[in-house]
Amino acid sequence: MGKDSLVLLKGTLDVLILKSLSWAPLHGYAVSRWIRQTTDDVLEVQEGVLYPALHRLERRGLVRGEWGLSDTNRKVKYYELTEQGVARLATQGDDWSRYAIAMGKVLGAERPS
Amino acid sequence: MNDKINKDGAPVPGNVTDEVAFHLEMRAKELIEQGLDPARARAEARRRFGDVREVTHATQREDRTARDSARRFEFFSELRQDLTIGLRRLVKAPSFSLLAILILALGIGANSAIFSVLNAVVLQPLPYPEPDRLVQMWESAPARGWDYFAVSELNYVDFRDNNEAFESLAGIGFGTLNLSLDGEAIRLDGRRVSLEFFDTIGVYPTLGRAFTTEEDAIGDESRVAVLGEALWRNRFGADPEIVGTSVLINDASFAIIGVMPPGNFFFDDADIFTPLRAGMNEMRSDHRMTVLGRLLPGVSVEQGEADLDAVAAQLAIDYPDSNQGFDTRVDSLYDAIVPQELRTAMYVLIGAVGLVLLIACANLSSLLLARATARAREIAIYGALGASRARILRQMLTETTLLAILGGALGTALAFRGVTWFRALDPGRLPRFENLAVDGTVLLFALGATLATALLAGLLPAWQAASNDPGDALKEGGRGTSVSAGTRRARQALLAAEVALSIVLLAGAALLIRSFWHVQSIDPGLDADAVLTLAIDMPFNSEEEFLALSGQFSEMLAQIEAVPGVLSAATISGLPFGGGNTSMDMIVEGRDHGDNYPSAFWRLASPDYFEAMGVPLLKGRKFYAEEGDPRHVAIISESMAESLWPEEDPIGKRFLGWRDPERLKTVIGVVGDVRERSLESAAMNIVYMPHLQMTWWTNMFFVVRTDGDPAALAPSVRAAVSEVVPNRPVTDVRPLSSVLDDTLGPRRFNTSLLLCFAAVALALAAAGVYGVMAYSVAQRTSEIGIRMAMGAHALDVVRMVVRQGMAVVGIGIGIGVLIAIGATRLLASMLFGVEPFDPLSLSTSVLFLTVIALVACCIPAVRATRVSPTEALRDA
Repeated sequence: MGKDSLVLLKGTLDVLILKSLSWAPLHGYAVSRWIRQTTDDVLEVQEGVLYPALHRLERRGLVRGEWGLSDTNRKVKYYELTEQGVARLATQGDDWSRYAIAMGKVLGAERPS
Repeated sequence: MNDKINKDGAPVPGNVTDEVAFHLEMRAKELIEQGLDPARARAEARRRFGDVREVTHATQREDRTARDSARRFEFFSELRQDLTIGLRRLVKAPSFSLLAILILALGIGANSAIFSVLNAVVLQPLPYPEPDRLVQMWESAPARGWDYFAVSELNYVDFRDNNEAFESLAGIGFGTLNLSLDGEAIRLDGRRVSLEFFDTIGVYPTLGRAFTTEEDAIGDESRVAVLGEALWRNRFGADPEIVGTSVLINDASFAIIGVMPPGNFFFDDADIFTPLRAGMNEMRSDHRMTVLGRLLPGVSVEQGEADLDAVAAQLAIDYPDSNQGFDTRVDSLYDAIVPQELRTAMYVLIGAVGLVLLIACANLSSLLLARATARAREIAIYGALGASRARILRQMLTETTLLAILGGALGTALAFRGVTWFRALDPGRLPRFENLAVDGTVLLFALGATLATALLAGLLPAWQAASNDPGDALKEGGRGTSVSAGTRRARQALLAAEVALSIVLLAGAALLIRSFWHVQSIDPGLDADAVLTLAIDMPFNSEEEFLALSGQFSEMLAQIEAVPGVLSAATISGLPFGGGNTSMDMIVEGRDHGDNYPSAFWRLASPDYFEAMGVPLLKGRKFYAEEGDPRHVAIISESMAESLWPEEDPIGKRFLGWRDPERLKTVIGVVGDVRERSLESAAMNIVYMPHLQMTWWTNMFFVVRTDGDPAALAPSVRAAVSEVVPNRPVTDVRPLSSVLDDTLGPRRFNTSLLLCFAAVALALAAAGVYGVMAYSVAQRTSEIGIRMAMGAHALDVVRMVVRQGMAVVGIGIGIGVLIAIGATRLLASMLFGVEPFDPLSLSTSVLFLTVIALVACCIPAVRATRVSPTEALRDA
């Protein structure tokens, strides 16, 4: 793990996965690539961690997995958000945004006069 | 890559390994594009991925959890679906459902009720700590025919002090006491118990204390008593302050030192416990004590007996006069209370009622098969739509289980009724019957019986339905009336089984009924009709009181005889069939008996006893009243006269009672034999002695012959006695016929229950025959129509149908007879005057069942002939 990478906070991965799937169904590798690229590799994760998480989300009915063929005609498992997943992303995303804003305000605060 | 593609173009689902492999491959490719050489790229991809195995496993675990919960969800949703379908089907066919539920309720209810009896009488452990170590001991003189004989008090002291196998040996004396409470005289069931009693049974007073060593010592004058819980509750209002107070017992003041916990502490409901002070009765040949023992841990009952036998052998050397020929008998207390024969009888009952349930199962199974045939099309469609065989099997079983549970619930309600009914029936003399209740064990049994029934009755029809080829059922089309040969055979086999089991039950019931008749037709040797009996206890505390007794008894008898409707009245020291042993061994004047003394039951009787009892005086005379007779006269029973003085006139012959030279007795009369012990025991030697001259026995009975209903005279007779002795309670006022009836109680209980079961079995079998035949006739309506149209006679049709039905019944009867011959042997110990293999009982059962089956066959057969040929052909 690089010096300037952040340890993934608990519960963050689920939100990342849900967000990555919010535009179109993706296979596992695509999800991991999207996370890497969007976070500028700052959130360094063992990439494998993604898979138990995906399957857990599948079990909870937040995503739905389906086997299909890739562009290169390979057998791959595509994941897409369920209605439940969309709803979860909306609430959790909001929570995270408010949290981040609050933290930002705290850290950017000036000494009280 | 070997991707398989389904017919419809969708790829075959892959697994986690595929997913991971794809990731690693794509990642490596990306790294290569960034300029890494392939080998390093692959290594880097793996590094960034983490532990491949670990990830794969973790992911698979997620999937498994998912599958499990999905499966669970599926199971429950299918179960709900099955239950809904099942319930709907049951409601749609209410008459079938009601019939099935009723059959099951009867079967399960009867089984649970009988099981509750078995549970109370046989299965429950004795209510003492470590009951396995508890035994009862007897003395035994096999040569004299005394197998289980009461223990003499002095011998008890020696057994207690010299044994090596017992933690403790307790002596118990039975007797009644009179308690005076607020001017009322109450008769108490008393136990004189030795100090060791409480240690032996392991139960101690919950209030106050048990006796001390001093209080149980010979010569101690303190009058102390421990109360039974029931007496304390009923007569003393459960007064917690009672310990330390005094009560008046037999006109003497006793200090109450303790109260026992609730329960039945040896035997029946003892009201009061007083110290035994073993050894006060110095007559070694006087055997009247009950002895209980607690074995040392690890010592077996047999070792205990061997140990006491060794003591007995020493006693025989030390006291040859009284103890020669005696050894001991030791049984576990459980065996003593619940004898082997009783256990056998109980297991026979549960076995019999189990057969009834089996028959009910077969019946229901047959009904279900018929229904399954009717819905073969529906099931076939179900199967064609993709339901697996297991799924169909489960659906069918769910339906049967639903039926069984409804039947079981109703059956449990019936079991509660049955238990109430059993209590009312009161078989009498069944030990521990008072524990009878539908408790947790019984409910568990009912549940088990319900589930077993569901499986037994449902499995065959469900299997049949599930294994039918859907194609065939659909092809047959139309009304789906054709029955597969397999189903028909299965129903016939079930019918044969029902008939066979019914024969077994019928044969068993027939044997018991014949035994009952035999026992009932035995001449007891007396005339029990119109005789009233009463019990009275007349203890004495002084010489003066003792001397007054004879006059008091004479006066009471005179008062009773003055009651209008009384023909004669007498006293007797023990009622026939009343239980209890008395024994007297004797020496006939001028004879040497060796070690083999003749022995007899003894009774004290007033002059009119034989008249009041209806026992014929065969020779000589009866006793004179009061002072008129010398003390040592005796009247003996016919069989005693025959065995001691065959071909001689017994009148005037003399013998030594209890082998005591002081008690030389002269025979003055011979009376008819009375079966004192029970109807089923042989006539025995009885010596009657004049009560009015010998009033030392204090527990007496009045025998009153009336000119009509003895119960109606009970109040005035009781009043007549109370007029003479107002402070002596009169108890057990009842007609002699009911005492006699009591001895038949357990036999009547068994016989009527088995008869009940046989009747139910017969009804079920008849219903089974009718059901199968009616169905078969309905199936063949068109065939019969054609035959009739072609000129067949109605009688031919009837004959054809009956022949077909009776062929199956015949096979069942044949198998049943074979089983019955084997099974009725289990009844051997319950029979009287009839052998287990009894051709008459067996053939009667066969005849009975054949007639019933014939009727059940004929009804559908006759109905078949009423079919109009045109109608039958149109329907075809």
